[in-house]
Amino acid sequence: MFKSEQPELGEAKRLHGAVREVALDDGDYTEVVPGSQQPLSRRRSATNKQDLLSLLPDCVLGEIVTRLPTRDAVHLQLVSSRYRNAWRASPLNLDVDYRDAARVLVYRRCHPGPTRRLRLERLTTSYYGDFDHWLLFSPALAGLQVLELQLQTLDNVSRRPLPPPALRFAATLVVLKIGSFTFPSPPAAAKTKPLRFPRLELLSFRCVDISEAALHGLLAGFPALETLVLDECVGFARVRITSATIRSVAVSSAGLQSDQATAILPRQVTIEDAPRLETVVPFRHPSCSDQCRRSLDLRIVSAPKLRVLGGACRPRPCASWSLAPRYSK
Amino acid sequence: MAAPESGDGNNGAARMVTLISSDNTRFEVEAAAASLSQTLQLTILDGGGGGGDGIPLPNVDSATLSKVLEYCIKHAPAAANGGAPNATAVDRAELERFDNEFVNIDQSVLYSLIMAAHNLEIEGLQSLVAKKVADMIKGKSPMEIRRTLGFPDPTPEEQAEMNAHMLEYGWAYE
Repeated sequence: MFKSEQPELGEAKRLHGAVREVALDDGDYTEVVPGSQQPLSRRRSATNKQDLLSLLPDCVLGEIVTRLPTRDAVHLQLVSSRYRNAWRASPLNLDVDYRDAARVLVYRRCHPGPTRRLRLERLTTSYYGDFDHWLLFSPALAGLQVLELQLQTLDNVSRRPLPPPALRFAATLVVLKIGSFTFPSPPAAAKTKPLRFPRLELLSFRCVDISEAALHGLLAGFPALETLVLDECVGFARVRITSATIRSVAVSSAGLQSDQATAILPRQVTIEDAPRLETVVPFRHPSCSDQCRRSLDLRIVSAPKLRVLGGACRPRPCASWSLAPRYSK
Repeated sequence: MAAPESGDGNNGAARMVTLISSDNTRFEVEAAAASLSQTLQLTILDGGGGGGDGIPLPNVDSATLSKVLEYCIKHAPAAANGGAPNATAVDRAELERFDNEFVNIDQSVLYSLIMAAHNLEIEGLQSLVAKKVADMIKGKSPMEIRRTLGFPDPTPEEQAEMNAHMLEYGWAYE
């Protein structure tokens, strides 16, 4: 513990108070300067009143701006031209849903890149083609760290093929979340060169169709994976997890196949060797039948640090994702 | 004097260093905690700050420094483990709770903290305060952002510039 010789901590708190009185100049501060009929605050706001951000150096401002969702960053740049420059100079944090698809083009025009985070939620099939093209060719997306793609579906059954360019960010991605897509199967993708995601820490698949071979090929390429979520995925019967880095696994029973919408497939999840694993959450949906609940077979061979093993019932089947703060850099 | 850096010195013999704020207050703190500051790290590794010497920090006042050190002391054990690999979920949740509480402060204090984190190059604190400010801006309109941050009302030129921008791109703001 540290000791402060003088002043005491209480004194320090009072000092904070003193600073506040001098620096924080909000609207209802009405000290009147002798010899002047005008309240001090009015004069200050006309002359040298400065806001919190104006006092900060550019690099700090950039740090702040890059943490903002696109919409707020755009609002901030309307506040002053300095913020606009800060926004343009920092990596883009692009967060849009399908109605915003056209806006992306505006943001792109105002912002030269690079992009740190791209979240496309509730993509509709009509915009889908444009984004495919954009993901493939935009140099502004080089170095992307967070990619979230969620297709808009009504039934959790229909899927689209994942745009192949989505995988071109494998080298830099830290977070990958995909919903309602079909993952390319090995003959097409992995035969040539197995995919490697050297920095990926969080992988979340929701209603994704992926073959067993593709899934295992994928899991072998995550040397840094900490969190794995497999929610209502189809296309495989068994998963084996062997990872030196993984901390938490959440897995649900299989989702519905589009062609056999009533069939419930058994699912076997085996955790073979996970020295750091702390949490395993096998979960089910409120609408799930008893048969569906029993269709998840979880086996743990070696997980010495496991603390939490429990089921969870999701409040809503289509709860939207949220991004853990630590990834929103 | 140049005792080797003891990473997780929870014993009484952990090496202490003295930091001196701009208003000449002396703070004695564990070297491991002060070393969260990239700026101080080299000096401390060289054996500075021990004994009666102390490291002067002319840019940081005592109130801010005490706040900064509160953060460093809390985060030093986790940092000594090389980030988080060995930390349990409970430890991490506790740090997160501390962080949230820590930045629940007045704007002027926040400003001093941002500057101190920047000057002392304390990475975790820098991102914590940046996130706090970002949270203050989130979900607000340009005028609300101005008010929140204590920004003066726009000058006629700024207003004209904003209007021109809105005319061209306004539909994109809905």
